[in-house]
Amino acid sequence: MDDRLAGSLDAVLHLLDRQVVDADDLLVCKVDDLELTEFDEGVLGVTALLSGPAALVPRYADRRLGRALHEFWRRLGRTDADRDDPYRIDIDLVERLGSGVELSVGHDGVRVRQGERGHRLNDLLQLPVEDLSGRRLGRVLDVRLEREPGPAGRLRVVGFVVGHGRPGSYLGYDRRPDMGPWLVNRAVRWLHRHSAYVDLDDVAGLDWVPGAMRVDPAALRELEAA
Amino acid sequence: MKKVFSVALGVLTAIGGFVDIGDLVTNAQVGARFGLSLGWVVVAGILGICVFAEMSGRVAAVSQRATFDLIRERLGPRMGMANLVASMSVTLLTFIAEIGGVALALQLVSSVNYVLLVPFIAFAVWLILWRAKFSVMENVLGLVGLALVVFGVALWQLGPDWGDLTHRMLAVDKPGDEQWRTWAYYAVALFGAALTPYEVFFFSSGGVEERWTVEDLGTMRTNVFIGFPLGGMLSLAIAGSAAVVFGPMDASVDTLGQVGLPVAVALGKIGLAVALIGFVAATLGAACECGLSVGYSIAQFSGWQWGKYVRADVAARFHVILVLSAVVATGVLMTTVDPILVTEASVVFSAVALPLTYFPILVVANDPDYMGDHTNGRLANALGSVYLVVIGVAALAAIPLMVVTRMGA
Repeated sequence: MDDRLAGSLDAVLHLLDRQVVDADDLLVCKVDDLELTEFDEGVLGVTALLSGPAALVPRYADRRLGRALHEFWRRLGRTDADRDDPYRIDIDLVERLGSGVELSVGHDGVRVRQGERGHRLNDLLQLPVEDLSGRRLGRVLDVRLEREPGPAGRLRVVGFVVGHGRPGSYLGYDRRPDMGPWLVNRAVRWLHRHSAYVDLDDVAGLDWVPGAMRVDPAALRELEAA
Repeated sequence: MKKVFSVALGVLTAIGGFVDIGDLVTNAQVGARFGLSLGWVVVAGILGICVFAEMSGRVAAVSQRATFDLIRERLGPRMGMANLVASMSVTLLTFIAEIGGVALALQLVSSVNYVLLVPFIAFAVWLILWRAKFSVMENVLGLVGLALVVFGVALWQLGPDWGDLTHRMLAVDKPGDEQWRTWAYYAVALFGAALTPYEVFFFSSGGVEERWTVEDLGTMRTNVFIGFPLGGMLSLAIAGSAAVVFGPMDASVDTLGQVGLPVAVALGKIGLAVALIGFVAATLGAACECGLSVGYSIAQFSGWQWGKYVRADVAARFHVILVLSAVVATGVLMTTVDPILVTEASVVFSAVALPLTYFPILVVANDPDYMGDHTNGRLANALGSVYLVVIGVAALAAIPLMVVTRMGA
């Protein structure tokens, strides 16, 4: 299998929830979430894989039941200051991305707690997407990434897939419009007929708190295969 | 020569390992009540498990990722968790039924009440899962399970009117005293018995355990496309012999002893002894597969190290799940719940849970990112789509039919 990191990839489709494997082929954990860091004004990139309950439990917290679950889980460890602090694996330790995320090191002590540093991909996926007048267009379904050229190239966000439904519900049919079986392909693509792509540069505004992404509908483009 | 031997061994263990307590009980019950008028469901079920197992085996060989890795990856943690809870409930139910099946089979041999045997059997199952090498476990139990071929011999010895038997199967000749809705309920149950989710969890995870690669695809396909249909023939032989012996008497099958009765009628004590060996091997083998499947699936969903290819302390959480499942199964069976009833419930709920695991596998088997050149071909996708619909309909119909027919009463 080719190394997905070499080309353009989608954070939810290709990275999130994949198995992390160490240099000796032992299983480490799942990619429960990703850490996004703003390098400079308007430059956003993936800096770490996050894992552990502190990363996973908030991902259930979409509706009321999920938020109750998150609150309950936090109450189970009230005394722990680092209860909401997930384990990090630095993105530089990732050697290759195939059917699993392959690390360049062994699994001993590879997951580190370093305090919350950047944003979480999950927070971005929860944001509503609005047009310039505040009308809701949908939400972020996926985040398109590209690695900067060079050996120490950063994994940068280049754009977003915007639409209705849930992140991941495209099941990969946006990237592979010819992917079978025909029946599922047509059904999924019909459900996502209003989904579109927007370049990071065309995003009019990205507020993490209170939370909204503003996009000029004229900047929305048709999804491209890759 | 070595290659031929390993392929033959794989096919033989696939045959011997195909039948489990669900197949034994459901086929005998259906044979006794409906003759072979539901035989086509067994055939449809076998084709379905071939399609499903081939896809998941191929994904495992190409990508080294087993079923629940893919479910979590494609459906995310929310749908994935709902899926895990449903699938593990069914698999645990099947695990309980298989251990109960071993106990019932040993009760027939020893006349000791099965409840007393349960703790020892659960302990033995755990010991096998903990200590035995993966290949030894699979091969030994699969080969001994071949003893169930005695049902084919019994059917031949009973000397039925073959023309009549095939005609009833092809013409879907339902006995007049049964209702169509009961018939439909048993159709779903038979389908669930042939297509139990644990079979696929075990098959794909087993592929990763045995380090399958693209080179092993041929061997894997031979096992599936020859072993499974021949194993399915055993299911039909069980149904056929029950139809010949119980059909004219208008009797129903409620115990494991009655499942073996046609063999005793046809072949006497020796035949029965062989059938009992087959019962023990088949249910013990399936119990091991179910127990492992629970551990595999939970560990794969959570990203923990799993498998018998590493030392037990490296996969500690996986082995803890195996211990806990054995304890839970013992506890449930010690309540003296009837294992046959648990079996009947497990096959119906298998049909309910099936689409949850089938759908993501169908999608990923088409994804060139995972599969490279080994994505589904036209035939695999045509069959895959047909079965997606069939499995969906069976899943939706299962619980309403269960309620209306009061579990086929």
